[in-house]
Amino acid sequence: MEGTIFKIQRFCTDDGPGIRTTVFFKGCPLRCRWCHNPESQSFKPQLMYNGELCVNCGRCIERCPKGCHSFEEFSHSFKSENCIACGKCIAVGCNSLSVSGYNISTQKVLDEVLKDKIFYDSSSGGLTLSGGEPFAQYDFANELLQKAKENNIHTCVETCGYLRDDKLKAIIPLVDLFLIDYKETDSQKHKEFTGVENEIIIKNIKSIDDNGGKIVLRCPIIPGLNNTDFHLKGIADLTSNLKNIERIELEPYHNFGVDKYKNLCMKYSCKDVNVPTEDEKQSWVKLIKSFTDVPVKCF
Amino acid sequence: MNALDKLRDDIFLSDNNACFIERDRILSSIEKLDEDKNAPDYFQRVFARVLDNVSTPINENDYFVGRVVEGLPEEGVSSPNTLLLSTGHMSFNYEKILKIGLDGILSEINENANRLGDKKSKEYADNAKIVVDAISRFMLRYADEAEKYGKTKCAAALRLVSHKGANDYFSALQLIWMLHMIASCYMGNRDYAFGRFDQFMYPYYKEALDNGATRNELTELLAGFFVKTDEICGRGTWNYQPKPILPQASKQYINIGGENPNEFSQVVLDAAVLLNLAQPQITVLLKPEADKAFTQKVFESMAVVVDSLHIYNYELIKKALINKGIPEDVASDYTFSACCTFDLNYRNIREEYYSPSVPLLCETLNDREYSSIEDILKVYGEKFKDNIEQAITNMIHCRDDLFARMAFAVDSLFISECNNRCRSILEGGLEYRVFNVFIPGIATIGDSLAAIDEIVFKQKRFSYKEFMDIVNSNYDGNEELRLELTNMTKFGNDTEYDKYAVMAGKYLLDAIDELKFDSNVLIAPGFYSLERENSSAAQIGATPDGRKAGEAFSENQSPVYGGDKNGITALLKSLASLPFNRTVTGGLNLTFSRKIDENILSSLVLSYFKMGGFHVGITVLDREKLKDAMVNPEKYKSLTVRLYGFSEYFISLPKWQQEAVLNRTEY
Repeated sequence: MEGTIFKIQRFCTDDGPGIRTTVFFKGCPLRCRWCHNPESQSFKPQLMYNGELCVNCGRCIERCPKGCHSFEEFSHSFKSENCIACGKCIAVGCNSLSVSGYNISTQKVLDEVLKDKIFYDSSSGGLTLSGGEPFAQYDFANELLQKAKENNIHTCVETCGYLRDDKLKAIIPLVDLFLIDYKETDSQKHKEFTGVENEIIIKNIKSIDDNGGKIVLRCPIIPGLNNTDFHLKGIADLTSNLKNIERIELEPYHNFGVDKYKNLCMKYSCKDVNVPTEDEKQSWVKLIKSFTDVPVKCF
Repeated sequence: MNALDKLRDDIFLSDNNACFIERDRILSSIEKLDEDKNAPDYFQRVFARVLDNVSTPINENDYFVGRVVEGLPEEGVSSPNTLLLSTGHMSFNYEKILKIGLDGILSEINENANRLGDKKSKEYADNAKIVVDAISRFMLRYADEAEKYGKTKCAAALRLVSHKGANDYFSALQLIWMLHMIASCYMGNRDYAFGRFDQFMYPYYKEALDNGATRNELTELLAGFFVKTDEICGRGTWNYQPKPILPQASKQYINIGGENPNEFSQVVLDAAVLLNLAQPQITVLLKPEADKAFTQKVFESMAVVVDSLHIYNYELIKKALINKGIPEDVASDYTFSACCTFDLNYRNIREEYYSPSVPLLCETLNDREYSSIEDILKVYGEKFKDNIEQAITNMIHCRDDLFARMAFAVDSLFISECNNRCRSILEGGLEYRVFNVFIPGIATIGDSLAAIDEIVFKQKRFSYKEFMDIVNSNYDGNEELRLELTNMTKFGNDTEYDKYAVMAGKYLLDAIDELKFDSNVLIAPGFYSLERENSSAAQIGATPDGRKAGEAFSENQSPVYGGDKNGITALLKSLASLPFNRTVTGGLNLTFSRKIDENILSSLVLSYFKMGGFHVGITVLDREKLKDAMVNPEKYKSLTVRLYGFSEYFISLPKWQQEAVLNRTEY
């Protein structure tokens, strides 16, 4: 079976325990305002253009079948509306254009993942599915996880938790650790920030827990959006009743994704958010810890 | 602030332009006397006069005494006076010295001289006495001075070891320091190393514990010993801002681990962490299963001291030595002194040859036209073999009698078979001649062969001659092709393209194995460049991998800059496919963009060694910090980075080398 991914990254050390290979799935049902991987939102391959690396050689203009590239006032302009991400515009030695996303079979992904088996075994690492939303390509994710388990590889899935509960329950035995997002306690705000309400997500977190799945709760904290006492207490409250939670991980806002939006000709509504200070981060940790005994890690 | 902190601070307050001025002043005045240099004891008497006349400074915070007066050199003086000169780069046989002391060494020499009975041996014994007496007098002078400072323990230790062996942990370290300092600061060369420090110091450590000392006390004492290595080295760099005269840019190597790590091996690590300065360089010879607690401690320490600790795959190297015919007891006892330079501990001195492996490849490619990679490698291997044979033969037969006599002044008494044979290190006293033969640029070599195979032999886009004409024109008018070649998958990505570097490595090592020398000659090959990838690049034309004439080629065992794109695990797998099991020297530096958890570090290195990896040294770079350090060096006096086989202070590096560090692939 084939799926669409945009990257396989070896030697990941923040996506679960030990040394891991992370497979980034393309496509996500949510549209989080702060998303730092905008190339992961669409299910289709996309052309990315980095103007800072462009040397204005003009070779892409000649090669593009859809007329997406042009010179405007002596510098390169890329308009994505008609782009089919065929990649024909990318000339040898061009560093400014790249296609994000490609189709690949589960076997090919597994072959790549198996290359680092020796490092997983010595570090208690393994495979992590990330994205995008891995469960948005459910069958592909399912087959990949099955193959990993057949090869005794530890599995993690980074998920937004937004999927049908019967599908989730079926896949729990294949996942050694869920890195599941919890983004906002107030459901209406959740919808405002991500495009969907949070009831399904909260239900699924509890379902994973009830069915023995191990959980790390990952909480992006965005100043001005969800760094409220109400939500921080909500995180603590949710976790206090979970039996299989290992820890809470706070992921404070960072601005690494700003350039990617530009490269994809997309608008980024969080580009003016201030990166939180260490003191702010510590105040969040302190507040959560005052309501729960679950360990809290802040990146 | 405790004494150790004060001593550490003094390192950063010291003037890096100052040098060991007294040595040079004394030698200059002796030179003017116009004495007969051919007198058989001339250099020994010179040595004695130096030691008798230098000062005996002490800092109130010193744990062990033994310092050198520093001052700015006379105008125009930029290199050491060579009236006394040595090869440097060796490890003394401290195990023996600590046991039998200077008197014991003299007795041994006298017995052997009497047994041998020839004139040369008698001269050796007479000269040894001049040297030993001078060292003893120097130690006794220092003992008196120590007494004045209330350092009675140092004074007592020095009075003892001025003649006898050490009788405890403290006197052992005091004796080692005196000899090391004399050699490093007065003999005229650098990189005297400490050999298998944890092995010969263990009995003294154990005895100290048995007598009631605590591990913490002994660790602090050891840190107080280690800081002295920084005192004599300052913050100079080896090729850019060395101290103007001695000790120039010496690095100080402590080897630990091997077959039997002990509790003191861990104390060495603790002391290095406690001190956390650029010196000494801790070389770990790691056999992971030998002592699990030690192995764990190595990675805990590496996560803290980072670039001043590096690790070799002990078993891999030992097996390679046995395969080269070295007896197991000797093969088990190897060391690394200097930057990735291999030694059979105190049995040899460092001799080395940087093979022109990249220029020889260029020469081979232009000799004639080829139809396969194997054809190229056969000719390349032959050419390489001839080059090495000639170079080593020249080194073996090179004879400089004056230098040989000069070099005897001290070193011969403390290494190899000199005292048994009553012959100095350059007159037949060495048990082994070990020639480190370095092969720089293995990734550039592999990538060049890959490019030829792909573009010429497989795709047949150009004839061999057409392609080489383009390369030799420095890709003039063929920039698109050059970019294509530059963007081809390079060595270091765990792909099929790694096979070219592997094949080349095998052919070159085959060529070395075919060489025949006397049985006491060991050719110690390794993939290593030091800084040849930059310093010799200007003379090398364009290569088929897209590299233009004059550009740097690949460093040490690493891929070309920016060539490895699949992450560190892929890189380590590529590297492990190189024929390291036939090499005994070389080095790999890995650069991380942030601090690495010790468990991850341990997993990376142990998995790498399991796959056949050779060596790992690491640097953690904060790119923004380094960029700022280039602009505001005064804020980053203690910032170190790993280069080649050692760590250096970043702000002391030349701009090109700072940029090279910034150009490395980070993980």
